Amino acid sequence: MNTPLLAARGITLALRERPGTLILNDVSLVVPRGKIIGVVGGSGSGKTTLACMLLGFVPEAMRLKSGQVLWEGKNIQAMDAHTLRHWRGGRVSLSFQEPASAFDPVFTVGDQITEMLMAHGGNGRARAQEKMLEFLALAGVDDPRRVAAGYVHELSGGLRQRAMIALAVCTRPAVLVADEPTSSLDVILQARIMALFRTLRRELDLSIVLITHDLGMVQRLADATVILVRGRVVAGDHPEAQALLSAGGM
Amino acid sequence: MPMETPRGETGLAWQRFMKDRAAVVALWILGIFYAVAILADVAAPYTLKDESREHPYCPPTAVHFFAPDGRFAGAHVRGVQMTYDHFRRRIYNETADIYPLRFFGRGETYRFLGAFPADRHIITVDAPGRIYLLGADSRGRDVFSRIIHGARVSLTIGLFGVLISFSIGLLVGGIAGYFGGRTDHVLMRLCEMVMMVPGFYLLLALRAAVPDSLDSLQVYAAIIIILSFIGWAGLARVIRGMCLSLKERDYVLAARTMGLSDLQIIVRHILPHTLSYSLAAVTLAVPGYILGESALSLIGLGIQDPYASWGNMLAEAMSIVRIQFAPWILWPAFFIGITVLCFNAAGDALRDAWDPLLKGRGEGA
Repeated sequence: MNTPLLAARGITLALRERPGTLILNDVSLVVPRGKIIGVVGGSGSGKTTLACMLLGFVPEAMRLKSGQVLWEGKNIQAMDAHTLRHWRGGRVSLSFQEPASAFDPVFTVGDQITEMLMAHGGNGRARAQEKMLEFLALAGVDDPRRVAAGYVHELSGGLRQRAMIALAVCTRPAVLVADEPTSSLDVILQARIMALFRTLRRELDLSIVLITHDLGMVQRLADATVILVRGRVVAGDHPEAQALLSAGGM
Repeated sequence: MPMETPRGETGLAWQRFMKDRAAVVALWILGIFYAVAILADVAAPYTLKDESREHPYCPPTAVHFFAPDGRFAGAHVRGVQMTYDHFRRRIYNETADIYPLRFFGRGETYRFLGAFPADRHIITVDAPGRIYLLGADSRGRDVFSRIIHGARVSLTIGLFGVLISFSIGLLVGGIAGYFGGRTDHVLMRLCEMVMMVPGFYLLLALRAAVPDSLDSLQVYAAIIIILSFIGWAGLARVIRGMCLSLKERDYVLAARTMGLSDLQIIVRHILPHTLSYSLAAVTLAVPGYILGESALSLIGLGIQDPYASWGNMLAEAMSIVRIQFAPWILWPAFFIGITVLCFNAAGDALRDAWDPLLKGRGEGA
């Protein structure tokens, strides 16, 4: 059997101060190459925490009780700091729920994408800037130069989200973890982002972990779906999963 | 119709700064001081090496427009003759000799900005006439000229000093705050060790560690380094506190998920956000360096004769008797005072401008 690209095995996270409170409880997830995996859950189900965990970040207030994240079958905890740093951003990247706060407000959006390109793959500044514009265009930005020169607070919600995705995929990672990529957008933009994900998968051979509360989006895009309820993975016939499904009008 | 463009944080802060009249005046005064310091060779009537042993403690020269016989003679100064009264005190009497003031006239030669040979001075008089706008010191050197030359040392030592100590402070504070834990613990105890020694004794001890047989440029560099060594700890502590909260921001986590190195994150995504605070703190720290240099020079451990700094000029004013007979040797103190006031006014306004909520609350930003 093929080893999956990225896998989480039995992740259990507890609050540091209250070890009895589990934020994630025995969560496992497999991301095969070139597939889109949906992770669906309501607010507070541990989706964003799982997103961080997939990149090996344990949030400050929490402690990893058990479980591991595997990259091509190898535990990422065993990676040395240098390898881990290049793995993050280079092989796996995360697009944030709130691009408004995930971009540094004192640098332009273009600067930050360029910075990322220079940090990975040793591009020179001129080459990195060229690539930055290419990726903004690929992410569906109509006027890459204007967007690149703007600060994040100057961009509309849709542009921010696309710039965030451009930032996340510009190093051609193998896996993109997208945390609520469409939650703040209207339906037209949502449709464009979904189309964008299909394009990216095709063009960059990207696997995507699509974390959202939007079941409709997952059903249209994902090859497999994981439902999170209060930190646990549940089956589709779980009563709360049913509640989530019916509330989503499915 | 022209639209008003929205202003960024910096623009707004600048707008608020410009509304503070005291700060604007302070900025102008400092601007003039620095301009004069840069053009010291032209602005000063005499060079650093100039002295006139016949004119010790000559009082400020009066500028006359009419000759002794009453006819108009243009702006000029008179010759002076030194005698002693029956208490053996020096008395200067004006003679009838007339020395017209020359503007941009030829005087002693110097190298303009250290490069081109030149001999023009804004104000000068022909030898053997002397012009002492602010009086003369014990060796008949012009206090006004020496204040202008001394400004180069006294005004730049603060700038270079804060540049070095703030680079150290920012980096140490940034590293301590970002990494936390043991690193933080060790670095903060180090800061406290530096802060715990009374500043002036540390200054003296460090100066004692530097050999005496240095030329003036080396002494200048040594003073800057010594002063910066004392100054960085306070800032490091504040920056560390700011970093502790800044590192929780999403864009810092984002930068980490992007695989940027810790140093890159600290320098690019954390320290720039402390800039508004540190800019004000830098301005408020400059006076400390100016005063530190003055203190060292005053006790003879700083800039040495014949080079001038405002501090070593004041060394002459340590005797109360001299001040009584030649109060003009205190002029450098006046300029130190003005400079310190201006930096404080500008620094306060800068801090208020960046953080209007703090206005009027004094220290402790």
